[in-house]
Amino acid sequence: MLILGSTSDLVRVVTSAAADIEAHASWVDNASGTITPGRTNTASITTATTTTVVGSPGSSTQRNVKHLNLRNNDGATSCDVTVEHTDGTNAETLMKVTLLAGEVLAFDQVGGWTHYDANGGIYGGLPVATQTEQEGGTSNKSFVTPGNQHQHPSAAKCWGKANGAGTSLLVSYNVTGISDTGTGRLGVTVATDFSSANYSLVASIERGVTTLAVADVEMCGIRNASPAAGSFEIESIDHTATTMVADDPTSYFWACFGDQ
Amino acid sequence: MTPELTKVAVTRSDGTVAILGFVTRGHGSVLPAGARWVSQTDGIWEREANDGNIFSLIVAMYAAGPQPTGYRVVRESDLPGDRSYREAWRDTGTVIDHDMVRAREIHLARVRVARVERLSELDNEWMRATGQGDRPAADAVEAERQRLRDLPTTLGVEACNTVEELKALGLGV
Repeated sequence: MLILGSTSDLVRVVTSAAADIEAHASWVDNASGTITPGRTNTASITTATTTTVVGSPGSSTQRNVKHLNLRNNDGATSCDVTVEHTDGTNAETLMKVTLLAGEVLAFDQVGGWTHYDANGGIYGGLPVATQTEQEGGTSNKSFVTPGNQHQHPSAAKCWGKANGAGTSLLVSYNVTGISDTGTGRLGVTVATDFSSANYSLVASIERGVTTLAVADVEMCGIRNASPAAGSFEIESIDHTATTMVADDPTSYFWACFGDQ
Repeated sequence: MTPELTKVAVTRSDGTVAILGFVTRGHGSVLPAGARWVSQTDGIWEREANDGNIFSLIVAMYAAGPQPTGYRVVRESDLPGDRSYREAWRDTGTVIDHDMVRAREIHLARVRVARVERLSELDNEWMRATGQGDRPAADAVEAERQRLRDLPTTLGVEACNTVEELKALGLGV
């Protein structure tokens, strides 16, 4: 809040250029316990000048400025705006910023100042993490958005579940195709290639039965030489008494981690 | 969301056929080549199963192994419902059918795998009978062992003209 405590107190704005500064103020007067809200919409400030944006309260009245909004409504011209509080004798500079076209300086009821860019973004906030920062995974000076979260090394770049025949993709993330390449074989293509064939691939299967007879114990592996930057193949293998045989499981599962 | 697929039969240089599931509607954080967002907020995209898109996926999917020699879009009804002889599937150009030469080879391989364990059991029985001086028992075991050795030629696999006949024949073990 900002208090105007006498009939000499006021808030004024000093503009530096012939832009188009629009000023709004909302305030509440307290006259010996009588509360009266009010507002002031100042006519557009289009020159380099000093303009009162919140006038002085009446006698025996404290004016509490709840909100002050200054917008540079000009299409091109930037303008320095200096906000001052004066008690009629001493003028104190509260805030000074350069408002580019379309930008806003706002004062809120808890005494905070916020400078918004022309798109409503907040100046001085943390920047969006770049892909390099995300992949590095160490910066504490930028924030993560839903659009770049997946670039962090800890994030899975691709995952999914397919049926045992390899003919249905039940759920997936960043998968562009599956392939029933044969009994117990599932091929998968990734929407965005990894940087190379060196990435981490975690695969598993749901077995067809719960019994543990030799012929029922299926195991899962990555087919030899199958991982490429944009694809890989999972195998499901059944034990027999003497050798392994390919066998369709109930389901295939996978998740991939690495650099893209 | 459940992804949507278009099935594509891809014939490879070793004569086998892979059934490619081309994702036409998927979910992810990046837009695949040839796709457009249905809802970018929800990460849902879609793309056409046209030749260009299908070919690009085939190149990526089969980068290793036998190389693709041809492909065509198929319906679920074109595919055999029974996967017992999956490695014998061949694309005739109208349906996916079985190469019976390959199907018989698969069946014989299964016969050979199945008889291994039984032969091992018979070896033990023959040793026990021989050790006990029970010649008739030993001869009976040897006859069974010989039957199993002869199975690939006596089972009648060559006379089977369909996979249904092969399945009905069994392994003979």
